[in-house]
Amino acid sequence: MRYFTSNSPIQNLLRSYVSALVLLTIATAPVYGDIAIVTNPNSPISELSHRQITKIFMGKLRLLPGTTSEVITYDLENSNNTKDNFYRQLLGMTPSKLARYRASYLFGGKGRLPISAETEKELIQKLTTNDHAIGYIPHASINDRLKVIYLLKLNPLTTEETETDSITQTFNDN
Amino acid sequence: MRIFNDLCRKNRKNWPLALGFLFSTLLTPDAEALDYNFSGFATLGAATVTEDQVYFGDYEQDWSFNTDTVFGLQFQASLADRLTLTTQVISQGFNYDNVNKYEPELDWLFLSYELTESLRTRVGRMRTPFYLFSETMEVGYSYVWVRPPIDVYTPLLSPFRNFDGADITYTTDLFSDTINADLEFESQFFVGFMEGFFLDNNIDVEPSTGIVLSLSLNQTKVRYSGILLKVKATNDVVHPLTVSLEEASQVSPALVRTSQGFETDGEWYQYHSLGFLSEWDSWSLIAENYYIYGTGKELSNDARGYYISLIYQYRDVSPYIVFGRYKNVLESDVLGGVNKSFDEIPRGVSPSLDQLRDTTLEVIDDFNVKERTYTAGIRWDIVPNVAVKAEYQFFEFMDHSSGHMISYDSNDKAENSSLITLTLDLVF
Repeated sequence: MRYFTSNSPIQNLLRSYVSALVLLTIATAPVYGDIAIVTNPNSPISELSHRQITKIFMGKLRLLPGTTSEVITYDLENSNNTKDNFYRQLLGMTPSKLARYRASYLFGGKGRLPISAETEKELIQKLTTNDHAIGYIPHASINDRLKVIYLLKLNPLTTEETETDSITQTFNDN
Repeated sequence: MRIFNDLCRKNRKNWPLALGFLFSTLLTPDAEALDYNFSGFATLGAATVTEDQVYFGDYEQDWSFNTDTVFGLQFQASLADRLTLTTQVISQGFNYDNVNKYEPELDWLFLSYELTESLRTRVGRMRTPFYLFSETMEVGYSYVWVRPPIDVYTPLLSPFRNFDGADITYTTDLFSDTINADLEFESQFFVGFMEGFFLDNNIDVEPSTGIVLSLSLNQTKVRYSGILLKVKATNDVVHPLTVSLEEASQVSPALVRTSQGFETDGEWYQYHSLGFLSEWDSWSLIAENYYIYGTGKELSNDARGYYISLIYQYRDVSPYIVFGRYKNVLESDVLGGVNKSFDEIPRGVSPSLDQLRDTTLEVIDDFNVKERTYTAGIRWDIVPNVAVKAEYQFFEFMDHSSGHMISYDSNDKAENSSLITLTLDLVF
């Protein structure tokens, strides 16, 4: 150890390396507020790309990738901050912009909207009963009844958690 | 499908039968497990026209409430994996066809099936894909303006709004492995039939076919639509004029061409449009341009229009401006026949023939329309699912026409007019 003095170039290099490793670990590990895109453990899907998740929740990808089955998407209720942040982060859409897009999609005959779950508990319940269902919940809420297929890291610059901005809506309450 | 078409096509009034037919034939014995949902939309509109020589829809100088007011209900059901039924009934406060105001009309009734991740097919009654916003023209909540810019979304095409037939849509990502951008290509091909009514004209289109190609790169989209329509049009009001012209052709043979020129029996029309939409940060730029080419034979017109719109969004408030231009020209043998008739029998020889020819010229003149419009407005999303809009639109009429407005008196036309509109749009 006598070779490694406090000012040795090797030690400085090691310090930098360890710091970078720690930062990298923090950046990729789930943190509070991150959102997990989840499905049923029996789903044939094990992971999806960011682009596939985007297309599924925009209604542009209507079949589960690589399968011949229709994907069933679930939303959280309108005033839920997780929903608000999910669409801001995933699609870059404010609640009012999302509402306009959804109206255009639904009444333009493009397809069906995600089914709305009133609570995270209800959403988890629905996901566990349908192999082709996909939904999103706070990462902190995941359990072994769900399979995480994507982790959406939240960027504080694109999300807002104030109640006044959580103006969201869905049309499909069935 | 033939039965479905027959049920649907009789002036759009047999739709309950068509719905019943579909339900009775398509619902599975496992109907209790049917996954379905209802949704709807509405617009309440009020407007005033500033000049007293013209009107727009049913808007006049006094505030009135019908032209933009619409109610819509939609029902969707998942009949099986990948198979969905969609139907939409709308009730409009003003119609350019022969449907009474607020009388419900079957706007959509189709089955859609996802063949693969990239292929989707639909069968039934659907919206003709003329424009960027064709599919949601009646859903005011889905776009920022009070109504889609009229220089392109012209009432002239309202009888062709829907078709009964089938379509197939192909969607794919391009270069998804090589570029770090969302480049998407979509093409739609359709074939079908139409039946409609527009300002005294009975219109049948058998068949219509078209293709839509669109390319999207992130928040920018370019769209082309090319549609062919084989049109049969007859006009009950002008018919007595054509009979008189036929009789007059015995003394002035040139009028034969004119008498035949107010009806069209199976001539092909072409429609082409190009649309552009781009969003960046809080700004959006939308532009569309279209052409309709007639055959030049029988009753034939060439129409073109375009608009360009700039929209800014600040939180839930979106101010916007639009500039548009529209031109419709009658291109037929009608005018040539009248002019040649004056060579055969000069004005003054027969007062009754002169009156007939002058009436004919007036009718021809009504077909020729040219205008520019300048629009400024604002949309405010006041609460979830509800928006209010206010819009000022200035119409500059050209070529002695009244543009998309109509003159009470053809001898007292306004050179311009404004339309001030307020709407409340909601979805549920």
